[in-house]
Amino acid sequence: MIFALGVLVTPAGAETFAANLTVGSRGSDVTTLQQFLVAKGYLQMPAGVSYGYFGPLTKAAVARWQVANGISPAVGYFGPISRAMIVSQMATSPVSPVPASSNPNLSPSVEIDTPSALGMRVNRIMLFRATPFEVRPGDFATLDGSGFSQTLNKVYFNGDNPITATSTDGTTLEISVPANLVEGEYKLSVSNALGSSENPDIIIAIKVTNNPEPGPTIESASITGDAVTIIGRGFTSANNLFTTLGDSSSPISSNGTNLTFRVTDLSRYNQIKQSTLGKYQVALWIYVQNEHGINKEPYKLEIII
Amino acid sequence: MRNQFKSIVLLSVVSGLLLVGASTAQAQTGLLPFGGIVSYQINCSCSPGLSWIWFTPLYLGGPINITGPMIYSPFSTILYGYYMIGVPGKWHLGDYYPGVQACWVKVYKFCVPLPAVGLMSKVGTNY
Repeated sequence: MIFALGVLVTPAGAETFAANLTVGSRGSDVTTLQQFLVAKGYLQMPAGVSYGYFGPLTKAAVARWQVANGISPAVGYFGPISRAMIVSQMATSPVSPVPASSNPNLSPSVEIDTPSALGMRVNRIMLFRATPFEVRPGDFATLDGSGFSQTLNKVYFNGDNPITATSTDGTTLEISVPANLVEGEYKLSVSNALGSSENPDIIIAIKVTNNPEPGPTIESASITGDAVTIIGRGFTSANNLFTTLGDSSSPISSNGTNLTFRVTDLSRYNQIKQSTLGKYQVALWIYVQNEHGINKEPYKLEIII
Repeated sequence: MRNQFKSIVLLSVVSGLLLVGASTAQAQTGLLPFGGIVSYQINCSCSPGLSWIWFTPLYLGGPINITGPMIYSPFSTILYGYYMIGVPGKWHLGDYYPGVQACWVKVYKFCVPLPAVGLMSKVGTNY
């Protein structure tokens, strides 16, 4: 392998792997494998982690590459079949050039422009939500997702009024809502070199209004018997509950700061209770949603079920 | 009586080794061990391909009986035999990234992370 002007070049037929690799392996073969996986988008090395050690992340990346290449079992063990195939791929498709100026020490943490969140499919852009849900024209909002670009994203409102934004971590985008938007609800989408976040089944919206109301916030919660009482702000006359034990069957009214429901009314409560018989501890995570939005961080209440 | 004593000693030694092994593994990787029996699973509507899997019981190494969810991702979780991931009644054993929230579900006009104990790093199941 030759490093010339900061460009990683793998001449056809020049690369071989001396041995099988697995968790715990070290050395130049591991470095070569990691550089290949990074270049192909299967591996993201955490910032500050150097090449040359085959750890759990490399194993997971090898497994993803094996799945993509039909190697079975795809368990992350770099054995004879994987070695032969990767050498073949390196010969026919040299590892992509990496500009020296942006990558002086070949750290993959700066090679990847569109980092994905842990667990998400790599090389796919996804948009999850905008917070706050209600904003004024010109206000700032935060978008959560995965695969956002560190250099260029375009955010669209109803497919129009594009603005540009950059992400530092690939999972959040700070945007300024265009000042020229008239009041109304807008479907959001983000596009970059990976494509577009648009998904006909998942509409992500933001509401532009001159009188935005804050979404619900939960400050505390307690349980007595099967009755859960939530204290907070931003509750309305019709609130929906989304929890780890299921959802409420119908909207729950509130005076604005107090909200009470029965844990036994949650949609998955009975299903779980069947096998726990009142002897298990569980974390009940609670979201309250109404027309003004939803609490960004769920509230955790430990209960016995 | 003698056999009972042997069993208790053996169980203590194995438990000790597991605890040492688990704490060493955590120190090196940040991963924690888990095990349990699947009650049911939910597909993560906003993060396609991922599953939110509820376990009863869920063993994390503590003294209290708990029940709760873990997340499986085909893009990052290494799956071992017998590949019965998320099948109700099947035992699962593996390790996980604590606190990683990767299961996003649709609620109203946005998606929210459906909380879980963590994201499985690797997992094997019984047949």
